[in-house]
Amino acid sequence: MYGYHGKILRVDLTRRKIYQETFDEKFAKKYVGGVGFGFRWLYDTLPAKTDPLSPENKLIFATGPLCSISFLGSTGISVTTKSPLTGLIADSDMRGRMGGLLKGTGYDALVLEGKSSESVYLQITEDSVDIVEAKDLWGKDIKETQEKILSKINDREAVVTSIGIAGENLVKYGNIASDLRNYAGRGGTGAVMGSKNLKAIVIRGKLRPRVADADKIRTLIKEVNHLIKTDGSCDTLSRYGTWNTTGPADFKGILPTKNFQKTTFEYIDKIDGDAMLNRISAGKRSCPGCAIGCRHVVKAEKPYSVFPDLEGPEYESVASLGPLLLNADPVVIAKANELCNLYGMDTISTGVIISYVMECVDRGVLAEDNLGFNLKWGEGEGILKTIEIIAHRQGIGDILAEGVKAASEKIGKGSENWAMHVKGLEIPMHDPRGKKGMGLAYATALKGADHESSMHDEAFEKENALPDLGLKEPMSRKQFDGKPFLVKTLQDYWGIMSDALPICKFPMIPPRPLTPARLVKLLNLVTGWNFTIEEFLQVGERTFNLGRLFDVREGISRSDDTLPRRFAEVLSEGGSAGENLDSDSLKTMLDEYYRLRGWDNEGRPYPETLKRLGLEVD
Amino acid sequence: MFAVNPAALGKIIDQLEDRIPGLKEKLVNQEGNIHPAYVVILTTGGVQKLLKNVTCQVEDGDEISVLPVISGG
Repeated sequence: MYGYHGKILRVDLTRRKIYQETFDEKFAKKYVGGVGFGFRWLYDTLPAKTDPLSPENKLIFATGPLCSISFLGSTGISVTTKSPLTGLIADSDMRGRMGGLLKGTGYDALVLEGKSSESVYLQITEDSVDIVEAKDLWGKDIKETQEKILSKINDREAVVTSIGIAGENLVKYGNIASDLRNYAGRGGTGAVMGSKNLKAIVIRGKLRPRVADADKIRTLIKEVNHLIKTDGSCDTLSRYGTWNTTGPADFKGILPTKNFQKTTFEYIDKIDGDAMLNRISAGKRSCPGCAIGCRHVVKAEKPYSVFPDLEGPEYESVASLGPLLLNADPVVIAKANELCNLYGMDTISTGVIISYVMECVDRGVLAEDNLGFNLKWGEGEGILKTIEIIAHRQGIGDILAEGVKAASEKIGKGSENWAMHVKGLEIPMHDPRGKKGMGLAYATALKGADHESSMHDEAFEKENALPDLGLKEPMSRKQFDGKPFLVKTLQDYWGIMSDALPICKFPMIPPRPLTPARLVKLLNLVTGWNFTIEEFLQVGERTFNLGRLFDVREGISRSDDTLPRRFAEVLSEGGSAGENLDSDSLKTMLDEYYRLRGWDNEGRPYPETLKRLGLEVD
Repeated sequence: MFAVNPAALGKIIDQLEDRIPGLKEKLVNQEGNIHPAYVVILTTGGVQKLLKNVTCQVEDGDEISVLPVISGG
């Protein structure tokens, strides 16, 4: 088998037992890897209604065949688990080196189960798997954790993947960090790791599997890299990183502002791409094998010191810690982002929860006495203090650490009406009133509101965006027609398959050069297979339906595929003035979406759909 | 923000090229159409509309903005 070892490492932390599982090429072809492997394992081994923070939950790190090479972030990894935030299946992918190095140990995936009786870290090499006592690491942030481990093992080339104190404290949107700068951010993967008393995973290995045609792979990589450098499609991403999104999102009226009450920001010129470059940028970084280089190093000294070791705030973090809170100070954004990263908390969820609290204060539902400090809109010091009390679960931070849905149910007084989430996962930084497909994607994504589950509407406003996938006709971002097909297709292609291979999502967005044809060709050159685009898409569809089966088993139905009522309110200003997304419009899109998916009126896959996808006999 | 005389979009880009050297090469591809990586949005009376090609007319008082088609996230 090319591109795979055919081995899965399973670690039972309760019994301190190490197991080696195997899989064959038939299984590899059916699920490819990453999220596909993770969903299959979770569906097969996790009984319905399992407590996500119990020892019975699994935490799965899965590579894919492209981890065998180094191209556009393909050495990243997919993390899957049952989310403590939503109670549903969750996957969160991260770039960096962990996938490549795990593959290098001779394993394609790592399955963690059980709970250690004391805090430990896991050390995996080509020759050994060790569970190591980690009492001295518990309570440390991710930077100190990494430094202590690397000093102890005296190996600077190993990759350290760890949780911060948020994960230790079971903050339900705690994340997992790898190499300090890559984060499996969404859905509370870090809380699951913390619930197992596992502080870190240290990996070193060079046993990459063989690939089918190394020469042709090199030629294809050269072709794509040349286009990235010359065709103009990646120029703004390369210059600004994802900060290229902030100004355009404001202009188009889709920039979440003041807890989604508005979609344009009065002080956009203080936090747009140029402002961030001028104020806090201190250089750039690239993922392994990437010719784009979209990642920014940031640095600041006053009024807050921000050190350059961690990842700077990308667009989602700029928006969630900036306009969403009416905060126009890039240094406050960078500091808040740094705290979230050090403590190991998802920046999107954190920003949405802080904006929820600010609205509570604004409306008199919460007062300074409840918080212990001032938290008015745009209050920088209050933003940073809120992050501290959440990470440490101090005072009301203990409630906020449960996520915006649970917190609003506890605080009550009508505040559920401005708790912005879908299925318990806080909404990312794209207002769906100005991009209807993203609204449908939020409503139907497997893990709750997920902006990476389907490509964004703007990429399809020009004709022939992705003709290989049947997406030829131009569609306005504001229109409803055609969006169910768009979302269904792109959930299977972009949302699932990028995390199964794995590969960075950005170069797949049209008109960028990593087209479906080139991506399938690359997979075939690595594995020696002869996949067509249709077969490739069907792996995505199969995996998506498997995730839906998991969620249905947990009790999800049509009534959960919904959006907050705030999006029914018509926008009065900005580039999306006059737009809304109410329940009737969503119902119309859902009807068509379910039909295209082969699901019944409650969102359950029909038996014939499962049969077509080869899921009925598994 | 730059003020230019009303004209077809292609002529406006020519006018802007004098003030932003290199703009035309970035914005207009070899076939003479707007580069696939960018959109030109016309704003008239608060309403935004996509300009699909260089022959589209821009009237007195209109504003146009150039944006990347899609960005990161």
